Amino acid sequence: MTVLRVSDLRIWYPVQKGIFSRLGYVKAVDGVSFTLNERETLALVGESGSGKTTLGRATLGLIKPTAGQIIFDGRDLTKITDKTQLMEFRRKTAMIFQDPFSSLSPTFPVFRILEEPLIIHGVKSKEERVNMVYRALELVKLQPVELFAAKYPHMLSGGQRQRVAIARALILGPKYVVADEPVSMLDASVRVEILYLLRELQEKLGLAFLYITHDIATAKYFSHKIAVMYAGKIVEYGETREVLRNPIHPYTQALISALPDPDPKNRFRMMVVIKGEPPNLMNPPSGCRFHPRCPFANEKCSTEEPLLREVNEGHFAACHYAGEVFIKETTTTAAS
Amino acid sequence: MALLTVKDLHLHYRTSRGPVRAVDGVSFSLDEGETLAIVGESGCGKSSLAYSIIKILPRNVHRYDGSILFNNVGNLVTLDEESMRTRVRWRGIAIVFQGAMNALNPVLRVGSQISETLMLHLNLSKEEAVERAKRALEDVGLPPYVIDRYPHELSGGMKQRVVIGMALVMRPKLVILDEPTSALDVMTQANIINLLKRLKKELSLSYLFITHDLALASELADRVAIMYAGRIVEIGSADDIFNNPLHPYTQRLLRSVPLLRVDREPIFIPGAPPDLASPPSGCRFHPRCPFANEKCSTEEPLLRVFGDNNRLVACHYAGEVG
Repeated sequence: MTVLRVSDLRIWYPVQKGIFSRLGYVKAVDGVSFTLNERETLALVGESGSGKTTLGRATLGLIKPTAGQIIFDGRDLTKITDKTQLMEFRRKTAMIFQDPFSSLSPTFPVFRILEEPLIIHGVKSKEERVNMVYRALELVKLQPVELFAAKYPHMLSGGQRQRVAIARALILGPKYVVADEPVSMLDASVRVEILYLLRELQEKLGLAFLYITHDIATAKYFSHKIAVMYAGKIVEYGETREVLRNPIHPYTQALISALPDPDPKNRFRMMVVIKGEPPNLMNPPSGCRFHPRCPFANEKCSTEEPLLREVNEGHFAACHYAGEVFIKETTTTAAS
Repeated sequence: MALLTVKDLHLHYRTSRGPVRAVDGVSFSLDEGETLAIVGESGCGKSSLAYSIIKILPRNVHRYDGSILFNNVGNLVTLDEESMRTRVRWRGIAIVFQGAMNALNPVLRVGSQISETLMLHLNLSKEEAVERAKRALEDVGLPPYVIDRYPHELSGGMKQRVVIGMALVMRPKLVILDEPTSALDVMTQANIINLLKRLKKELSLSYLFITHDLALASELADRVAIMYAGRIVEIGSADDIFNNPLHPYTQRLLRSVPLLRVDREPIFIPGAPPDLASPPSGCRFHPRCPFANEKCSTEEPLLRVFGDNNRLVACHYAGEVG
């Protein structure tokens, strides 16, 4: 069942240029569409500034889009004006933030942190709130629950804090959760532990996750579908394993080649890295936004914008030469 | 020939919970032109180890002893501060800090920050220093105009290049890299790693590469030391450590890395690293080790030699488990 359908979403931030100023726009998200089903995780990957966080926040109604539709549970979020409807939407959605050290109030014990959303959403009975808090702690395996409920965030490890943040996100029983780099501040082993917990909770509760990350290696194991973002647009989309095994867009290929696996032979070769840096989104390049950095770009790429099209079954890419060009992964022997 | 020889190094901090044993009896040596990666989770003492070598210590040091022999300078642990400043830091050993992008002074142009070092250490005139600064920027692949820029005008990757250029400006023999790419995007990170590879070769540098990331470690390391709870639990050639790890902790740490090019579900190590104010008895990894028995919880395993490739492992059952 489809939980979320985003179509042609645009988020343009107005910018003053100079004092008397004509207005410009930073096109943080520029024409993005995707759907997300129950029990499904979509990984949204890309470098910082690619618009992935802005997109994630917009799907929760935290940022007002400039244009486009966000259909959640059959209702267009961008058209909700009624406060009760908005509260209902908020109850069904949640967010897990990157930094468990700053996303939890240091002056509240865990119990109070988890109780807060219940109070806001009108769970009147104290007894019911206590039960719900304990159940949420059980869900994220912070046991004995009474003990953890009484602790303050500074008494917890990074992994435990992130569990509290997850419990807080899930306490009202949402259907859709945005996890924005939920494990990037954690150590490798704890990272994997938290991702397994999220996977388990997804299966148990039927959650739909938007997993925002710069780490395609964790995305490979903990998402069903993947969308690669570059300069405010999705450039490649499909089943995660298929996209990573057979990346079509040169940008995706470049991202993969920049991420090594542990291998003692790595030190004898250079990584392949494409030139340049992501563009300024106030004045993005014409044609394909990736063309100034793309080793295969030609005349057509700099004038004509490639649309996201189905290249193989269920595998989409926005490149004029999708399936014809490949960045080689390793290079010349070097160093050591 | 050994450039750096560390023996039984201790660095303990005084805290309200008692002494915290961040570095607790660490020994290793590093040859000229070699890269040793020190890998471990946060709180294992790897950054403390870096600081104890270059002697940038906080005020709450409780215990600091052992020996650090560096390139005929003598024991750095007992060396006076003035000699550290004039003979060791920058000239002999340079350090690239974690989050080095924020290590630059925001109100000084890049050029003045680099030339200041040269004027202070080498008594160069301003003109000579600026010339050298330009060459330093060229070394790290930055265009000459960067010299007149303020740090905020540069991207993260460019700032990191500036900081690496500064570290190398006195042509040190050893460079300590403390998580040099941790705040950067993957592409920028790959660029910086390529740069470090090139510089190592061109300037025959030795690196002490502090990182939590085994994949990155494999990009630079000739040898790898795995740290856990203030101690080295396994040290050996990159080939041995990555292809045939013997310590149960190393084995699990490697299995926790999600691989892109091979399909293998990553695992995690249950439990958490110990509090270094009161580390477990016996083997410090025993509460998390699936093979631990009575002996592991009482008797501390010492580093033992395995094979003929200078590999040491601190586990009673190394080679028998995993």
